[in-house]
Amino acid sequence: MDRCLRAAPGKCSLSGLVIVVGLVLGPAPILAHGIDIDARVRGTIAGEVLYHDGTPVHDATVTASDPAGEEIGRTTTDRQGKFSIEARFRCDHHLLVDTGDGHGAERTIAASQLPPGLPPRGEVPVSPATNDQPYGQRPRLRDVLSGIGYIVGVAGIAFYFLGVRRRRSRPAD
Amino acid sequence: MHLNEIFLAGTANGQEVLIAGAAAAAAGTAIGLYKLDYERIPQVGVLSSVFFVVSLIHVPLGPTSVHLMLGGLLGLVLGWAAFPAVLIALLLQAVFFSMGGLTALGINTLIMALPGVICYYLFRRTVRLGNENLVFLAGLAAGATAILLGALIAAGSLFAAGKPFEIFGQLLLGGQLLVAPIEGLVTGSVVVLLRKVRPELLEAPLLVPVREEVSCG
Repeated sequence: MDRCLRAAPGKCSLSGLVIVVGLVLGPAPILAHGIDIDARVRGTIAGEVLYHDGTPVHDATVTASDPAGEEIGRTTTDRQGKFSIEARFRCDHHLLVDTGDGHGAERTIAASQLPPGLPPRGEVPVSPATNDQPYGQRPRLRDVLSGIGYIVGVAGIAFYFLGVRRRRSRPAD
Repeated sequence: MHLNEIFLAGTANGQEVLIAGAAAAAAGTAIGLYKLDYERIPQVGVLSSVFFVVSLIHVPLGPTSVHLMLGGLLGLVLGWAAFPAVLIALLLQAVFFSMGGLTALGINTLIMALPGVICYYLFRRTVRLGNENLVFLAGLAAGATAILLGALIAAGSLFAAGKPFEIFGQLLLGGQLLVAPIEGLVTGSVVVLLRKVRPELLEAPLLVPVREEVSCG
């Protein structure tokens, strides 16, 4: 059940390089349909840089710029061509790869792909005071049923403990 | 109205609100568990499930959308046990749907459960009367009051959290004023239905419709 939010792997290739970007909400050991179980709204833009034939590009610099052109993140790809940049703001991230030997590629991650809780770039955070709308996907029936199942489970546990308390307080008949 | 934890955790005052809310909710839950009867567990479970589901059904209302809370109903039926019922439901909503957040669990539980408990003490006697209209009115009042009290607590928390949150507190109060009559009507209807079908849930006698004497001739 891999329901974690992954942007459709887009292969935007320019001059021989391919960037495949996935969006991972984390850090979280468990992902319940893509939503961080401890509700920390951090976004990490993770992806990989490959040559056209699939060979990973290692030690390439990946920079993320905001719409104004200011750099808001920078990292280098590892031996498998993978990189991850933490998204600290909810704005379009323009990713630019530079291998240092003339190869380059770019891709833009739209702000809408990032978790809504991130502050906008350069302003006082205006994330909504109330969070009534479940973000991510709309609540599915199976999630509702799972929740009810948990409640039934907790009620069962309560039955056990209160039953013990009842038996103890009741003298042997 | 689930208060958003990220919003509040940003400031020192907001964090104090979160901590105070958590402490109050813990106390309320402890009282609720202490008073919990073995026989009432199924009702707690059912109402917790109802509360869990009902917050997910959004009804569009103008530019925004609202959802029922049923805090008044929970309070009338469960009393102090509304605290653990709401706590579990909110925990599951935070885990499954990221509604509200885990650090705001305490303050959100307080917002939704405490008004229910207050309505329990205010209206439980009226709800047990034999007159159907009075029972409906009691339910209506309980539902509306629970919403308004919850809005007051939520807005108060936002005001206490500091200047940048005040506008949201005002917006919240305004929004919940629209929800209050709807929730009152729903609670009133449900309470009357319960009195007719499952009066033991309200610890009340069966509500029998009064037969009007029709004189012939």
